[in-house]
Formats: sequence, C-alpha cells, structure tokens
Amino acid sequence: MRAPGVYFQEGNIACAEGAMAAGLGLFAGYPITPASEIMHHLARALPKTGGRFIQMEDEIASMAAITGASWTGLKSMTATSGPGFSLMTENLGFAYMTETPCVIVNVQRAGPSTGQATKPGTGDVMQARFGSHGDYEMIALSPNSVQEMFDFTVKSFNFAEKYRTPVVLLADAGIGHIREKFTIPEKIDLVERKRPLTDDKEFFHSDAEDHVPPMPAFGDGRELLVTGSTHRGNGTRDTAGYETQDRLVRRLKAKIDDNRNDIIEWEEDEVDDAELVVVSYGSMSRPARGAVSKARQSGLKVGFFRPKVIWPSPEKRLRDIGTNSKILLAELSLRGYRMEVERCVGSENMHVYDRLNSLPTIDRIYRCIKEVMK
Amino acid sequence: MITGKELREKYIRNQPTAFCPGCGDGMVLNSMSRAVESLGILRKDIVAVSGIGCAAWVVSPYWRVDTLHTTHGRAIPHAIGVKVGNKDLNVVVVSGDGDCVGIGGNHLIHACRNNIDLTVIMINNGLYAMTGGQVAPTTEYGERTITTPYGNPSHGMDVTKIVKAAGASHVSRWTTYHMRELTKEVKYALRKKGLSFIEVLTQCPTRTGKKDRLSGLDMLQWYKENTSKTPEEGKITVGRFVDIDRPELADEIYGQITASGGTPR
Amino acid sequence: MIKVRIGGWAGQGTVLAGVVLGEALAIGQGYEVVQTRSYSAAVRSGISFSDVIADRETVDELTIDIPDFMIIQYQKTLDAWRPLVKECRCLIIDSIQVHDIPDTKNLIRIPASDIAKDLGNTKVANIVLLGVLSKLLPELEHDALKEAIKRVVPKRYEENNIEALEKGYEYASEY
Ligand SMILES: Cc1ncc(C[n+]2csc(CCOP(=O)(O)OP(=O)(O)O)c2C)c(N)n1
Ligand code: SF4
Ligand SMILES: [Mg+2]
Repeated sequence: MRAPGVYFQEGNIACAEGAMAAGLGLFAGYPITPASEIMHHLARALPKTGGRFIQMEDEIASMAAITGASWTGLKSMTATSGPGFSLMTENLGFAYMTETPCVIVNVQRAGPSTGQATKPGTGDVMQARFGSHGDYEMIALSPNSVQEMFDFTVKSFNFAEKYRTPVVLLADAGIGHIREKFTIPEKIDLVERKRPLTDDKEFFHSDAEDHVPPMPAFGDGRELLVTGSTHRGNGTRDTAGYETQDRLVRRLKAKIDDNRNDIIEWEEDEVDDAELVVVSYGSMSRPARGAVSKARQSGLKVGFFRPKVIWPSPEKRLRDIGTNSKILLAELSLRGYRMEVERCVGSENMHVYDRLNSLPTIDRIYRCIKEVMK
Repeated sequence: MITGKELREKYIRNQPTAFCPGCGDGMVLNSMSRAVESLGILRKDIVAVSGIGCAAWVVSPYWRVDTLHTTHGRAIPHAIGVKVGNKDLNVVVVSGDGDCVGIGGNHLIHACRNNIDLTVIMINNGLYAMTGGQVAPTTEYGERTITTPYGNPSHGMDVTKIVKAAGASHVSRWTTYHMRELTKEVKYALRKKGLSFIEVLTQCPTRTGKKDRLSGLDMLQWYKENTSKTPEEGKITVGRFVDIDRPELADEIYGQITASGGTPR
Repeated sequence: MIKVRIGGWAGQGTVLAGVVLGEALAIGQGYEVVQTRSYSAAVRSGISFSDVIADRETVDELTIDIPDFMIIQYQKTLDAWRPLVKECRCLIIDSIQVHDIPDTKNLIRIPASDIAKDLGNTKVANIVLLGVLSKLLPELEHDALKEAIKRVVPKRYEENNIEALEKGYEYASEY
C-alpha cells in the first residue's frame, strides 16, 4: 500500500490502492483482461496490509468467496470484466438479497461474448443494473480518470458498508489501462457497517429511516440465518408468504430508492443556457468534455453532463435538462446507457454518438456536435 | 450423556423438520449435532454453509449455528470465503449429491486441491430429490428416474475417488445405517486439518423409494445388506479411504500475510 | 500540448520508455499527462506502442491522431504508421532496426541499438532514443527524465539506463 502522495500510475493500480486505503480485508478473483492488473497488484501488496488474497477457480467462486468473507466482518472485493461479470451475476443477486456489503469491479471491455479483450467498451451498463434475476436495485459508479479509479473504489466500499449492499465499480479499459497522475490523500473518510446492539434480534429488517438493518458477523454467537430465500427480519425463511416477500423486496428497493439523493452524483458544466448538452460517462466522457470546451470556444452553446454514479441514474436532472436542451449521448457502445437516457429525455430530443472498439479524438466528437446543432 | 430430546433442543431449530417421513437427512443432522456436542465445540464457533436442495435444509434452517444458505452448487466457494475470512471458525458444508458434484463439481475439486479446512458432508440420495427426482451424477447406469424413464443412459460416479485424486486430506463414506460410525467420522473430520469429505448414502423414500416401493426402513436394510467395511464384490465399500496431512489453504494464506509483515485484519 | 508516440516490438521496452517519459513530465515537471499503451492480440504478434500526451491543463484527449514526435524502434511499426510519417513534426528512428526509411526531412536516424550494445545492454536502446527526444523537445527537461528513470527502473539497471539517456542526448547534440 502506497503512502499518501502523488503517483503516476495506471487506473487499475489506482483501483487496487483505493481498495487497500478503504480497508480491504479479502480479495478473491479470477484473471481476465483488462482487469488483471488489479489482482496482480493486490497479490503482492494486500498481504502486507493484513488482507487476504485468493485466486479462485472462476468468477462464480470469486463472487461467492467475497460474500462469505463479508459475513466474517471483512470488507471484500473482486475484479473482472464482462465475461466474468456474467458469471458473477448469479451470486451478485445472492449478495443483494442477503444484504452483504462487497465491491465488484468490472473493467469493461468490448463485447459481446469474448469480443475484444483489450479494447474498451461500455456495453455492460444495463447488465450492471439488471444482470441478475428478480427485482433489485444496484449502485454502480463510473470513473473517468485514474484519480477517480482510486476515489470511486473508496466510495464504492463506503456505499457498500453504509447501505449493506453489493456495489459495482463500472470502469472500462479506457481508464483501467491509462496512466495519469493521482493523489492518495492524507485523510480518507471511511464508512463502516452498522453493528448490532446486544439486544438486536432483527438483522434483515429495519424500520429506520435508511432501511438498513445492523449486520453482525459469523462467530458473534447470534445463530444467524443468512439465506437467499425470502426471509423475515430474523432471517427465517418464508418460501411462499405474500407479506414477507412484499415487505422484503420493497424494503431492499427502498434502501437504494429512498437514499437516492445521498447516492447520485454528477458533473455538469454550462448546462443551463445550453442548446445542446453532451451526456457522457466513463473514458468516453474525457474526449466528450474536451469537445464541449472546443465547441464553446467556437461560440456554440453547448453544455456537458456526466453521471459519476450511473445507477441509480440522475433521472430527475436528466429530465430537466432534456426539457430545455437537445441531448447528445456519447458512449462506447450501442446500447450502454441509451435506453435510460432516452427514457429520461425522450427520443425526439436525443442524438447519439456511439462508437465501438476505441476512443475517438476530441475533434471527432466536436464535428458530431456541429452536425447535430446545424 | 445428553438425551435425544436435549440434543434436539440444543441443536435444531424449527421442529418438527419438514423432511418427509423416513427421510435420512434428519439422521445426518442428528449425527452432526452429536459430533459437535461430544467434541465440546461451541455452536458460536461453527458456520454451516449449504447450497440448494433437500440436503441443504439440514443446515438451513435446521442446524442451530451460524448458517449461510447460498445458491445451488456454490456452498463451497462461499465457505472458502468464510474460512479464509476467519480461520478460527469451524466451517461445515452440507451439500446434496447434485449440488456438490453436479452443478458444484468444479468447486469441490478445487477445494480439495486447495485442501482448505472445511468439513464437507455430501448427502447422496442418488438423485435430485427436491426438484422431483431427476437423474443426478450419482445415479447408477440403467436406473430409472423421472428424466431417465428408459433407464439412465449415463453412469454414476464414485465421488470419493475424485476428491481423493484432487487432494482432500480426509475422505470417507458411510450410510445412514452406520450412525455410530458416521458420528465418529464427523468428529474426526471436525478436528482434521484440511478438507474432509464424507459421503453419506442417505435414503430418500419419497423419490428413490417410491419407484421401488421402498420405505425408509427398507432402504436402511438395503444399506446394511449391500455395504461392506472391506472391499467386496458387488457391495459398496464404506469406511475411511484417505487420511493424510498436507498444507492447508487458510493457514498458508495467513502464514504469507505474517511473513510479508502484515497482521491479519 | 505535447504528443509523443513510441513504437516498437514486444520486448524492446517501448511501454517502459512511455512510462519514463510520462513520469518525467507528470511528476518531475508537473504536467497533466495521459500515457496509454497498445496492448492487444497484435502485441502477441509483435507491434507494441505507447502514447504520451501532456499539457499544462487537464488532458481530455486520450488518443493521438497525429503525434508531434514518433520514436520508432522496429520496421513493422513504422510500416503500420507510414501515413503519419510526413505529418508528424519529427521522426526518431533506431537505424539499426529500421532499414526501409522513408525519404523525408523531419527525420533523425540513431543507431540506438548499437549504442546500447556498446553500453553492454541492448535493452536500453529505448532510453537512448528518449535521450534524443530530450534534446529535441524543448519542453522536456533532461533532469526530470533522469529522476524518472530512478523511480521507474529497477535499481540494478539504473546506472545503465542513465548512461543510455546521456549517450542519446549527446548523439542528438552532435547530429
Ligand atoms: C441455478 C439453479 N438451478 C436449478 C435449481 C433447482 N434446484 C433446486 S434443488 C435442485 C437439486 C438438488 O439436488 P441435490 O443437490 O441432490 O439435493 P437433494 O434435494 O437431492 O437433497 C435443483 C436442480 C436451482 N435452485 N438453482
Ligand atoms: S424428497 Fe427425499 S430427500 Fe427430500 S425430504 Fe423428502 S425424503 Fe428427504
Ligand atoms: Mg440428491
């Protein structure tokens, strides 16, 4: 683990450093391009901090191991890319249902299937949100710089602990594999999971405003029943009852929904008087932001909007922007965030610059802006 | 000595259990509880992990320890996270044959290779009981099940040989007819460092029994007559097949943490 | 904005050269820097390259269309970017590795591999070429490169690499 200071490093390394700074207790993973540097770095550095590193037989097992470890009271994480994320979605649902805090890093690559392993893509945005089965909500963050790879990893752990839920760091190869300066600050604010009081009996229900129940650990002597089946507040299973299913699934959803204002975050620039707002995220948002600056310098009324937290989406703000301006969504996939943005701003209002395989230059997006504004 | 009633009250929640009359799963539960009781291990120091199936219910909801009731076939990798997370815990996996070597077979092999300190109890009833009696990787050649109505065109496998080859440090097989031996074996497994694998041939009167019109008792009788503690032609061998010492994963990982200058969190 | 592309063949240390250059500009000189590396199935078949983009303000350009400087360590890499040859400001070529050299004015040939061989380590040809760059690119401080080498290169190769850097610089001074 590096000391506080300024470093010139790759996004994946910054992510690994962020995890250690957040207090990572166990990492389990399986190699895959373009995410492997995270595990390479942790294999060496994590034990020195007292954390456990383990390479599993596949991503199904990796996701399972971090879930098991979280119940021993540790902060846990895995890192993968699309093919591995597909395998993780089964147990991601289990972690959600059992309210197990953990962090899943997906350094997205160009899919579908094996696609192009070293090339960036953001085609997993919908999968991060809907990939597992059943009704659920997910928190997913979208970094666009090496600094954010560090900061958002810490933030992912904080959300996971605060809301007792798995969190996806939805990076992409465009950021994972570039080197930039980043700062490890002297002081980092960390959130730790709510621990139960001696008399607490319900670890799977909460009437608190944030809907988050306290979380004990295995070995505390509480005879825990942790199950992916529908369960009551005390953990006992109810395989058929209406009330239990309704109360549990709605609360889990409310945990994210009702805390939305605490979770969502975006960057925007000169949106209010803009005729056109460029919406972008992840590595693509860098040249997109550059193109917006260039357009403005040439006198065009263009704004910039970037969700930092991609799920839950900044729905309301997008809707507001969509009523006043045209929208140009720039993304590294055909279907990434498109349906969500379209849902918020309406399809009449929306233009798309979608690109596959690699990032465009600023100029390429600038030309697209001019085209749309003509 | 603890009475049967006291044992049940101490170790089993939600009585009576929902297992069918004559089901062997409750007997395994009983045996596990006795083993823990006689070793004097505190319930708070045990974590039981299971997947999905009738066998999985043995630990969740019934066993009164910390339980993690996971997804189908994935009990072992979850259990690895628990054990590596806190190696002071005794981690027990109870898994059906389908769960353990069907959908979860790859995890089993690698857990044996790692020789992680788990006690894995595989309840083998020869088919997928919970979902209606479909053919499993343990179903014998030619057997009829609901998905092999013309006889199993495939072959059942001897899981003890696989886990032995994969490197488990302790491997054995018993049946629900051999309750005393089974309890002793679970006790041994709980103390044995490394991966302990116990296969328990367990009667499922509802699924296996039905087609042959066998009751639970008939099936126990069958286990009695068709097993042998020494290899014998035409009989299933029971007993302890492997008992070796090999470095164990959690110890190794903790050792590396300490050697690199860290202190396990 | 400074845009440099370093291209070579797997094993020639092209990416390392990019890292040293990026580190010098970012940490040593306080630039905002983005450094990328090629890294694809193509790498396995050979071509490897690294781009360095630096500016005094935030760098949002993550890809180079036309580099200012191209450092070329391998024939096939040059062939792959032939269209850029005339457009870039300056082309620095390891003349021991590259033979089919285009006929342009904006070009410097350095027998970098031979210089490296004389230093007892053919692997430092990449750093010889960086030494040349440090002479030609006024914004790049020679000392920052030296410091970067000390931070990035394993201790036992440090001296060797610094020598290589000096040799490259000298060569360019006399060119
Ligand atoms: C991924 C997945 N596939 C299928 C199922 C359905 N399922 C539930 S239990 C079971 C079979 C369990 O068989 P076994 O492990 O032998 O346990 P038994 O019921 O025989 O004790 C299956 C296929 C499931 N729950 N999850
Ligand atoms: S179906 Fe078979 S295994 Fe399941 S509870 Fe009934 S008897 Fe036991
Ligand atoms: Mg079965």
